Amino acid sequence: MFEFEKNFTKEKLELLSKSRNEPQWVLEKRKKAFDAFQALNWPTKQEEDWRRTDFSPLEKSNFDLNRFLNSSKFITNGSASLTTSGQPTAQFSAQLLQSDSESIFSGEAEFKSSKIIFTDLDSAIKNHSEILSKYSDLINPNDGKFLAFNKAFWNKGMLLYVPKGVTVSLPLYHQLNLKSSGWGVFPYTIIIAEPNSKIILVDDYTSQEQKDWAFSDALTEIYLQRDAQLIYVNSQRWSGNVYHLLRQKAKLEANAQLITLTVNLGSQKSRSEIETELAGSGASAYIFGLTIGNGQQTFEQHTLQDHKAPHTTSDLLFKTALLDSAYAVYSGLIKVEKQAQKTDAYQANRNLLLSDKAKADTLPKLEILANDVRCTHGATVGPIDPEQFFYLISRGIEDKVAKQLLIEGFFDEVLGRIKENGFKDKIKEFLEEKIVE
Amino acid sequence: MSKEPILKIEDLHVAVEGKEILKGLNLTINKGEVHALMGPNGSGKSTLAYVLMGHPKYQVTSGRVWYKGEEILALKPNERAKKGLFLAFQYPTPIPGVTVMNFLRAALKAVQGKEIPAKDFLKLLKEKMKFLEISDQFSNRYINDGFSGGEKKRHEILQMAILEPEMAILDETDSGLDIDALKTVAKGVNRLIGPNLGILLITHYQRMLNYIKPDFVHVLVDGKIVQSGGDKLALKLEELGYDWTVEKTETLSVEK
Ligand SMILES: Nc1ncnc2c1ncn2[C@@H]1O[C@H](COP(=O)(O)OP(=O)(O)O)[C@@H](O)[C@H]1O
Ligand SMILES: [Mg+2]
Repeated sequence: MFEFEKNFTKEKLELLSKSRNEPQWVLEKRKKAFDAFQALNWPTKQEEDWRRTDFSPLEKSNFDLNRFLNSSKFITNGSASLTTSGQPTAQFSAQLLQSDSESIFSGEAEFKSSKIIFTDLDSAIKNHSEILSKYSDLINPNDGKFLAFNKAFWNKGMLLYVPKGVTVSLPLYHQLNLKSSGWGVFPYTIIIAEPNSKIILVDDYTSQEQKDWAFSDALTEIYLQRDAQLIYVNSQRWSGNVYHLLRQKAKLEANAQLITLTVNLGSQKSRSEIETELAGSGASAYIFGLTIGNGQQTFEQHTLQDHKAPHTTSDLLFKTALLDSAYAVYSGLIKVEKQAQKTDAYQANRNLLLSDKAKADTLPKLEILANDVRCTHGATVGPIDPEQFFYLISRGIEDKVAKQLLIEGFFDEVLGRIKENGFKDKIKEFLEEKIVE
Repeated sequence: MSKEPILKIEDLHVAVEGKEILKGLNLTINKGEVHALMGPNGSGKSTLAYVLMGHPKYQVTSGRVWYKGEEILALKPNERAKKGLFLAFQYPTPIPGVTVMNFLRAALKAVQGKEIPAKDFLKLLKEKMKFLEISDQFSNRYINDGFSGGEKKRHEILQMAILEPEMAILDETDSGLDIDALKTVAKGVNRLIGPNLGILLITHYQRMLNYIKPDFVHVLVDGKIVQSGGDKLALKLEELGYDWTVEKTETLSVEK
């Protein structure tokens, strides 16, 4: 089905691993994933979950591995955030900026003494294999062709490891910024938060516009051990030539707290799957999504709130604003297993259509096997309120600016529900950039 | 004072959802004049306000409207506002998520045609809010969201004070206000009244006219102005009710 598949052979995989000087155990993991990849079929439109996914940009494209064959050069930059007068301007405790061939790290003093590991995956393999070999199995490669593909051929990646009880005062920032054309990037992100740790990470994908199609197949695994707290923002601001897939899975142990925010702004076509497993009693997850589409963009978002333990909470709010001929589809499942009594599970999907040609479909689903649960779900699709619009334009505000204000207002609820403020300016910046486009 | 019309309405017919509401309305307001428009509920006062501002729901079936000599019925609401037309809404719409501050800044930028430095804007906002006895935190609230009746009306006048229109239509800006709030709002309006501002003061009660002196009073009944006069007319209406304007003789002949 995909022409590029011929570039991704077992020989290529061995070459990739070798040129990156990976230890044997990494190659073995890649090979296991490759076997799964070969055994699985590409999903087709006949499958319910893939019915709306348009593969056409991928079919004829010829991504190859050579571009990212070698591991990136790792550069430590010290602290990048002091002004000439020596005043700290830090928005972040540490930053990791990955481009095509480099990864540049800078961190504040507080971060450096914290024992947190925040590095690209190649460096992590070299220096922290004892951690990686223990984790990195949350997503099973047998669960899907594209997952297996990432796990076999991942060529960018990141590890965040927060030891027991550790926290830093500011968020962390990771950026993947790609410039070359015709690439295929397969980022693999692993986040491990040990008991009682607390951290905020903004993970940002961005690229320069190219004429050839590019393909991003991303995987994120999040381990939250008991009483750990994490805010994880994944923002894709890929250029318009990118076809983007993301699979994120978080597993929460007892009393762990996750806030996850998926920001979808870029790429021509994107599909994300956000899975949250509440595995330990008392775990809670707040699952947010912010999407803005314009032009011909399409967004497909799937979520799973998987309650496996009693006294767990999940609260999901996905908001999408669509302009021009943009299209979005949301499908979300709340699953409450038999033993997960006293569960609270909420799900809401709100879509704002700013043009007659924009369209959104929303498909909420419930699967509840426990009998003592509180569960609600709701979905709306609608245009902007004409009275609100009139109020704004009656004050001289241009139609376009009025719509921008209403979009910002529409999204404000999501950011307003997160108490931590440290990362919000960055997100608002991303949104603003897209809104005024 | 030179009698230069700022707003001229000629034989205006307006329909909402196919139903005729205004049935041939004529009115001329000169620069510097305050006109009060009174009338019973449902007579079409708000309809006139909306149609002057260009609300898409109200269809002009015939008639013409000039603002500063230019026909405006074909203009979009934001074009009218930029030319100096302003409507203080009877029922301002809540807009959750959009702060008063961001809104006012965008509006001032649009009306002035250029960005105002943040510092200057904050200074202006603070000064106007103080004059209208509005607390500082108010500007961080969402537009009309959870506002009390009085807050809504003050917010309308705050917008007027910041945007400095040349023709303002105030639609029942007095309703729902206690006497102190009414005085504050009237103070805000009076401060703006001058030789260049025209005001159409829509009100259901005579009360507001104790604080803002009209030059003329008009009575709207069933989509038509049935009576016009000086400020004494308002007192007479207060005393005799609107029925009097419709069937003068009959009402006056009723004796105790
Ligand atoms: N948006 C609207 N939709 C339907 N009917 C309306 C609308 N606005 C006004 N009307 C009708 O027009 C008539 C006049 O209303 P309005 O102009 O609000 O009167 P007033 O402001 O004098 O009380 C009423 O019968 C009202 O029901
Ligand atoms: Mg009215």
